Amino acid sequence: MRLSGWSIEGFGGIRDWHVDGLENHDVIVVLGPNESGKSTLRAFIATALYGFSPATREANMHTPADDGAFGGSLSLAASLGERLTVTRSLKATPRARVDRPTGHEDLANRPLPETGAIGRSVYADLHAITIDDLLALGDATWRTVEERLLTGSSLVFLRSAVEARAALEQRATAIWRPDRRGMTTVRALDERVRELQLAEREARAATRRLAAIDDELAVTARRDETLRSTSAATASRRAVHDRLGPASAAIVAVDRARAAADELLLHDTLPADPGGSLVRAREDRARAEQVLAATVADHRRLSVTATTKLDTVVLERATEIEEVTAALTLEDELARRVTQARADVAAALRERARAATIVLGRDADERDVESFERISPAALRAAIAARTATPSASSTRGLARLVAVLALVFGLIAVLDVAGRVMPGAAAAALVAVALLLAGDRGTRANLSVEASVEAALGGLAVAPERRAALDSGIVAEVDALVSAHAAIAVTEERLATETMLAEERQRRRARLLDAIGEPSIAAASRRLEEARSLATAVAGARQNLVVATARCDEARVEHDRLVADERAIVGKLATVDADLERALERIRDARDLRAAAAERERAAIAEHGDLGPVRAAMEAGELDLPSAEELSSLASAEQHQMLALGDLRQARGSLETERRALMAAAGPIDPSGEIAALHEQRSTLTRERDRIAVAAATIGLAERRFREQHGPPFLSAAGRYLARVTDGRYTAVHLAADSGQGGVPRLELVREDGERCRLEPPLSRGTLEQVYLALRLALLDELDGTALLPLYLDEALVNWDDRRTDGLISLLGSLGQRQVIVGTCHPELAERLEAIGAIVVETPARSAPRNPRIGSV
Amino acid sequence: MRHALRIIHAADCHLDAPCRSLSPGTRAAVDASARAAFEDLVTLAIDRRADALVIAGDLFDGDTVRVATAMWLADALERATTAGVTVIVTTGNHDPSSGCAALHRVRWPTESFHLVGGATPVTIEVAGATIVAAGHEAAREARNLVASFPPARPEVTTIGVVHAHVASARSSHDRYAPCDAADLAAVGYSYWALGHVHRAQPIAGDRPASYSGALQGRDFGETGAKGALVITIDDVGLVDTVHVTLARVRWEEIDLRDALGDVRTIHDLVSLVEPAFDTLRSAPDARPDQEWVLRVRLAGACAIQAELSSPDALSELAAVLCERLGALDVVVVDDGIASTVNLASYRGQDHVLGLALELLDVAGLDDAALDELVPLTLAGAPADPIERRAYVRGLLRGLDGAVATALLADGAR
Repeated sequence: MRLSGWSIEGFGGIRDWHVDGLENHDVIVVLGPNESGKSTLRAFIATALYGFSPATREANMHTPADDGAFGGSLSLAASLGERLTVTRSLKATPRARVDRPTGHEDLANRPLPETGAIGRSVYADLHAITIDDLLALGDATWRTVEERLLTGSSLVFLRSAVEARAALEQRATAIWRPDRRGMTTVRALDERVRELQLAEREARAATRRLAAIDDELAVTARRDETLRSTSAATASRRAVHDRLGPASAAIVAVDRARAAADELLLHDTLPADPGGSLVRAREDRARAEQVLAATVADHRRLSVTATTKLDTVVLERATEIEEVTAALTLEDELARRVTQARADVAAALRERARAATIVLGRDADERDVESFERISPAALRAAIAARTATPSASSTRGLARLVAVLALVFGLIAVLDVAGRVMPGAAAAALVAVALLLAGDRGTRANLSVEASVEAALGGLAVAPERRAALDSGIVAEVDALVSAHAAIAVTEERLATETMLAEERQRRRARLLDAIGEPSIAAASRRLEEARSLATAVAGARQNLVVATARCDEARVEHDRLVADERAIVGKLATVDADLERALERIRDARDLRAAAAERERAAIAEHGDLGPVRAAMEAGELDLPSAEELSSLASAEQHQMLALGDLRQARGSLETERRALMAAAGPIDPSGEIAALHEQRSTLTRERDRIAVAAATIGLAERRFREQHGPPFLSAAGRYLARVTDGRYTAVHLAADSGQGGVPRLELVREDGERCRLEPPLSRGTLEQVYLALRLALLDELDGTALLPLYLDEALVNWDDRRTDGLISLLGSLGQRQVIVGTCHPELAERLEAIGAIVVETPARSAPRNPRIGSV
Repeated sequence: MRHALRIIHAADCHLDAPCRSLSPGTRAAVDASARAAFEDLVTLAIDRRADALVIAGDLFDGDTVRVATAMWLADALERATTAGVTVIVTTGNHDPSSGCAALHRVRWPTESFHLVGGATPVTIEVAGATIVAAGHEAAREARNLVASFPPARPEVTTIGVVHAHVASARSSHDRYAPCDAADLAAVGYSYWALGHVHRAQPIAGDRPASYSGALQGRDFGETGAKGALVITIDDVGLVDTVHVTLARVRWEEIDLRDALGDVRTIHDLVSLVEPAFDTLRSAPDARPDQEWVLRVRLAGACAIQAELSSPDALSELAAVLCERLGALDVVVVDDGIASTVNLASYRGQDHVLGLALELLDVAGLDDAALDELVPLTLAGAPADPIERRAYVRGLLRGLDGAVATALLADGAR
């Protein structure tokens, strides 16, 4: 790529600088004094190629001080002759476009595509250099050298082998990449596998435990069954014992007693109980005689007592005593009724007195009795009614008298009144008075007849004057009440008399009875009667007892006599077996006792156990296997033990079943096992993938190493050749030192013309050092920028060079061929020397603006 | 004249074996399918009026068995024997008679049932024929059990039942109770019911012998239809063998390695998978109610290599395929997907890529070159040098493309 020209609108101190027609010149000299814009031009070219950096006007050191237009265009000719112009400007944001014959492209602030693999930093270090840059190579440059030139990756279609390997290793690591929890994928898988393995182990243990529980449960069930069976057998034997043992024992005891008795009797021709009946009969007879004797004595005693003490008087009047006793209650009732009758009489008297007071104005007496009998209530009621219908004579009479008096007064006044004005009134009054007096007389006569009827109806009852004076219809009821009260007195008095008579009759009868039996009270008479009766009953009983005892005694005597006869017969028989009669009798008695005891025991056993026949039959058939006492004790102990064992067993079984249910509900080992296997597979896949990438990375690493071994770095050879030309053969080669480490900044050595090697360090002069690094740059440009061929800009780089080596360089620059070289200098002599080899000289424009004070670098 | 006989031949039921899947749903489905397959096995024996149901070893996967499994297994076998089917179970390397507690956990039928756990062959008369069976006593049975089987009587239909590794079988299983086809032929049996190899296959030889295969696949190592064989032997000794698929869940692999050349989009890739799955689904041994667990293997040059380069992308593709195919589960595996770089143009060139390709080519052939190439810190490499080389050579498949992809600049890929 060759520089054709530039058109700078504003960049640092440069404004409106337009240059063109440079593309055919291999060397361009930019000549100008210090601070005239040579370095600014270098920065502009870099900016045109790669964009503004920094990309803001405020930060960029080349922003024009007058805040005018910032930017410009750079005209270039590509390697195939294609012309293009890149125009950049920076206002608020950077803008750029590249114009080609085929069209244009917006770049924003991106590098010009033609810069290819040459990055900005490499460009700055290799292509746009100042004297300060010539003391070393930048890190970025060395890194590019390391990654591309030393590893065989310099071809444009290849990525850096180091980058490729690093990317693969990163991918391999990414498989192990930590997740958000900071855990690698594989580690997470491993942890999950561990969790599952634990779950699987637990599940397997649970499964085994389940199996063990089933075994234990089976054993438990068998033991349970055995224990139940044993326990049932034990219980059965105990039940047989409990049910039949006592009966069996009783049978054995009875049989033993009978056997013993039979043994004593030697043979069975004798009666079962010879002598026994006799003894009992003798005893019975003795008891009967004793009872009889006692009965006789008792009878006698009672008979005597009865003779002397039996209260016949009382007994004879027993019925009467009982009646009187029974009548005691009746007497009390009669007394109560007498009292009541007296009270009724008194009440009747009080009622009559009250009624009499109303009618008579006093209590009634004998005088009134006859009137009471004559009174006719109906007549009285009629008379009173008639009396009420007749006008009152007294009132008529009174009024007439009053009017008459008034008439008289007025008559007198008329006589005395001279004027005679009241005369007609007085006369009339007098007349009226006369009429009234006449009417009063007729009423009086009628009243006299009614009064006579009233008196007749009252039967001469001496009615109190006040009451009589105001007789009205109420008198009828009052007289009626008086008569009724008087009649009630008669009735109650009659009843009192009757009741009194009855009570007195009872009292007289009791007195007569008590007098007859000589007792003070009827209670004493009753007690005496009871005693007499008791004695009579006892005597009767004794008599009856005597009859019974006599009969019993007679029976006992008869039985005794019979048995005595029998005994005599038995003794006679035994005397023939045993010479010693006494011993024979003794044996008989013993046998008798044994047999009696056996019979008694048998009765008791039957009463207690029922029919002994089946038990006896089983015993005789040998089917009754009763445990012995020791065995029984052992059975009880065993049974208790069995019950305890059964309890324990059932408890254990319950626990086992509970545990079993819990285990059954838990997850089994299959699921975790399956997931574990799948996770192992996934891990294996990941591992394989990781290994595959690692092998790929290793392959690239090995290829890169092999390349290093097989190919020396060509750029060093080229650098040696350039250096030889610049130094006129003083130095012939540049080598990597043996201790140069891979991946870092290489250590370089120079080979002098005499073959000696020297490091790039003092006492090597600064100028020589600059020449070495310029030679290296030229060589690297060949290697790294063989396609884009970006122009080389040497900005005042030759200050420390002597003329000879400057000429060597000038000669070299003139032979670089396609790559254009721009030399910025303030020395016209250098410009002339370069012009001599065909360089074009471009002078910087006059200073148009003060330098931007901001500090920075391209 | 011989008696005709019909038996149902199954083996390698591996009850309660884990299913190797990351999907809980798949694991549960396989577990249910395994049980249903066994129930169907019994139903098959009853429906086909089989004289015997023989299970040639590895009824159980290990020494433990779930209580629930022990219970339904007992019920299933009881159903068979009650229906008049004689059941013969021999032990295998997974459930040897000396070390498998599971054998003692099941309430076996008390009649018409034979559990053969000894290495000494047991002769059982069934429907006028003779079935001779032997079992594994230990987990690693090294003896040739077939060698101790008695010779058949010519007039009697005789069947051998054993869990053994026949040398000519296609199998990657351990070589327990090893024998060869000649051993099987030597005793003159009408049929050998074999167990151990999980892939159903006949054994080539003079006498009919077959592996029935596993009853239920549980990982991608057990692809294909799984079930049992219906063996019918007529009165002249002719043997008819029919495989019946009993497993509802079926594991299958769709191999698209080196078949991605025309793939330009994910849609193209899905379009490649679908017809392959249709072929599987329409296979005669596929059940109508078959559920599928699929693994799609991708390898070779592919234009969308970059899109498929992350595990997340493969998971997403698997989810899409699972939904589109109606499968129980789909796994997509990158077995070496490479970019479509013309490697030939870079081989023999004097740059780092040319050198790297040369190194890979040489390492594929030369052990010393391989050893020099491989880094020491490989996570999955076996310690044994020979196994390590084999492992690494496996890694080299398609690695040239990967290296080229890594080294080439964006525009050159």
